[in-house]
Amino acid sequence: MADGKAEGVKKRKSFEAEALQHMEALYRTALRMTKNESDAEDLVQEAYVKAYRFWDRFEPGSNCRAWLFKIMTNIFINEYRSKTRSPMSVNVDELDDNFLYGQLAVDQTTRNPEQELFSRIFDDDVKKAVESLPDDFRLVVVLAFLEGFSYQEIADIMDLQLGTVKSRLHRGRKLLQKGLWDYAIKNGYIKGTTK
Amino acid sequence: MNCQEALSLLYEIIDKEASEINVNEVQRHREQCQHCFEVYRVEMAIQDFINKKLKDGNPSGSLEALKAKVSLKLDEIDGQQTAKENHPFFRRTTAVLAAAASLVILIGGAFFLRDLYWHQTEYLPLEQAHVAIADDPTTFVNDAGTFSTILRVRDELGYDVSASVHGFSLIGGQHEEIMGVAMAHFVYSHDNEIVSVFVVPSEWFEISDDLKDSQVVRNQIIFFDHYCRGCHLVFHKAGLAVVVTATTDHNIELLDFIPGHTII
Repeated sequence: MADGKAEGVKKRKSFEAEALQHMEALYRTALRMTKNESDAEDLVQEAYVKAYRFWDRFEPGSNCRAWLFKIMTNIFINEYRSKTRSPMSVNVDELDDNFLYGQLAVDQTTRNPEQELFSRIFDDDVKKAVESLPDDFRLVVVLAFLEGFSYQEIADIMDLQLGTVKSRLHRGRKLLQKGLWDYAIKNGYIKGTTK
Repeated sequence: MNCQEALSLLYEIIDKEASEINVNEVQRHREQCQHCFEVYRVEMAIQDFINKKLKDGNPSGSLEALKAKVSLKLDEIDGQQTAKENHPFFRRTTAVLAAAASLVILIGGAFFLRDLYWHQTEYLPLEQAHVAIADDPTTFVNDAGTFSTILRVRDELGYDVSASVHGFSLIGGQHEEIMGVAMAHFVYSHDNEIVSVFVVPSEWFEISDDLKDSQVVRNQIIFFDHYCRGCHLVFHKAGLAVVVTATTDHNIELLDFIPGHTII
């Protein structure tokens, strides 16, 4: 009995030392996944509860952060996704590669033409543009851009083929650039002002 | 390397997924090609801008509160595990599942079921009865004793025993005397799992305060979804109280073991 208790304390300590430090990252990603603070908090809590229950299956020394993201992503996909599914409003295949560059590059003589564009994209616009991406693209985009996971890590987290990750990220990136362009226009950016 | 090749590697390079050879070749091309140089520069600036805006400005105030909530959840889990560890009975049943219904034909004296649910260290007669069965389900056989017990709960308490529930089969039932109260004990099993159900006339059933906190109403049935080591759920209705216990699979819908009250 005493051994069991000591074992429990040890488990809790190792979990707190290794897993809890990733809460800020999990939460900011949960915010972009669920699109609201309350669901994001619930999602993070569920992820930690599940992770703690399965802590004995975590291999010490392996990537705890990726493991936690895998747990949380699975919960999101299974329990939250249907509530937040968003319709695809743009046909991604009609968008050019390097979409923003294509819009900007009106005059090669201007230095840093992107700066004027950035000044018309307000702080929350990027988050909103990401949140308006269809789920499949959004998850990959968030894991890559916000958390810096590699293609392979994302494939492992989402149980996808590497090629699927690349294709979703590519399409997600194009859609995101289109979304940012729309925000910039809405916020008063006038195409060609960088001349 | 030409422009097309250089640009095809653009996002792999931005995402730091390109091989060193490709990175170097693109670098050489960019130094000679103003167009590609500019595409790369703008795309990298866009990527930095996106990454930064995504990271910045997230609500950090709620993070401390969230940490506290997670800690509480972990405490809850620790509490459950400690309780289990303190009671070897329930640890030994992890491979078995039994269901038992017991009919209280009372023998006098003030006896409250809540005493059976005294959490911390007290002796838990219902759980013990359940565990004894879980340890050796062969003591339960579907014989004449089972049949007479089924008839008694039906006639005296209006309780119809199900022969099977979600793949669990009734393997037997008997009267038992627990703390001076005679009970009929029906056992269900499925694979190696066991669930126990205890039926008690309501006048002998008093809900303790800590159980009241867990009151749930579903399909107009009031019950108490309560975790106390292996004792998992108390069902309560006028004239009849049923206690269901399961020691292993906590995902079993125990309410479904109560005839006529299958929960959707």
